[in-house]
Amino acid sequence: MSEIKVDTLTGKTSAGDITVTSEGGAATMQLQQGLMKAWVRYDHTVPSVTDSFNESSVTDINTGVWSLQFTNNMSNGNYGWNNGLQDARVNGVNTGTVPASDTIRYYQRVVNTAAVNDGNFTLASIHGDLA
Amino acid sequence: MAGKIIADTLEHSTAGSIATNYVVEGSAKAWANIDSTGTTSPASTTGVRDSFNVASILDIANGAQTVNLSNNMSNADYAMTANQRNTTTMRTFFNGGNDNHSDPTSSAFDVAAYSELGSAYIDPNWVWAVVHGDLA
Repeated sequence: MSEIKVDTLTGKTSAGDITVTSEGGAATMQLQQGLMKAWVRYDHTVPSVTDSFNESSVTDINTGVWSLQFTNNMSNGNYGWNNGLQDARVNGVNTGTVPASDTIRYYQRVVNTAAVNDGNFTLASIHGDLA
Repeated sequence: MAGKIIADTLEHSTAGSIATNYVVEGSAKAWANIDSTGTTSPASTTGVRDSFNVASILDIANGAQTVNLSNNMSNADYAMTANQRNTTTMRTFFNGGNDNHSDPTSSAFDVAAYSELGSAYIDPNWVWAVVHGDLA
């Protein structure tokens, strides 16, 4: 078994481009592109962040409305987000405004009534390009 | 010539270590940020704001698109999640939600958006999809 002890991985040819071989060996992919750039587990009823990565703060804006601020910004607003809710009520989550490079806003609503509500545990993740 | 390292484990001085299979198997294999109102038939990259490992997107019908991958997955048993944003009404999101949609294959998957309030398929301005699983 081989082991590398290192604090930073940097591409040799291009600093932001490290290639890894696919599971099946038929393709290669860029390591940076596949890595999740931020995630947070947030209890909006407290409110409290349970755990996170690349999250500088979470703002409780209003009932059912909150925003995530990044420690290291994305390159623009064209990244992607996913989220889920651990909550007794049925919820849907939409982003309330156009995502920005430094923040994204979430709206949590009851699906069949569209009423805003606070989720007990909201799990949000970000993929895309870091600045 | 680019350098190459073959290793089973990466260890950071303070943040711990991780087996490299978690890096390879745990990384997203494709993602896309899409304006589904701008997608086309035949398939193209029109409407794609940004993406990774996405060759093109086909507009199937109102509220439905096919995402074609550049490098195929090893089979159709991967995980796809999707989300959307729209400025008007509450929408929820499904994959393969009606007869217009096909099951995922190693090279493509369908996404669809449905308005719970309007009881109709719709094209959101912002659609996001991500794939995890094994590349071929």
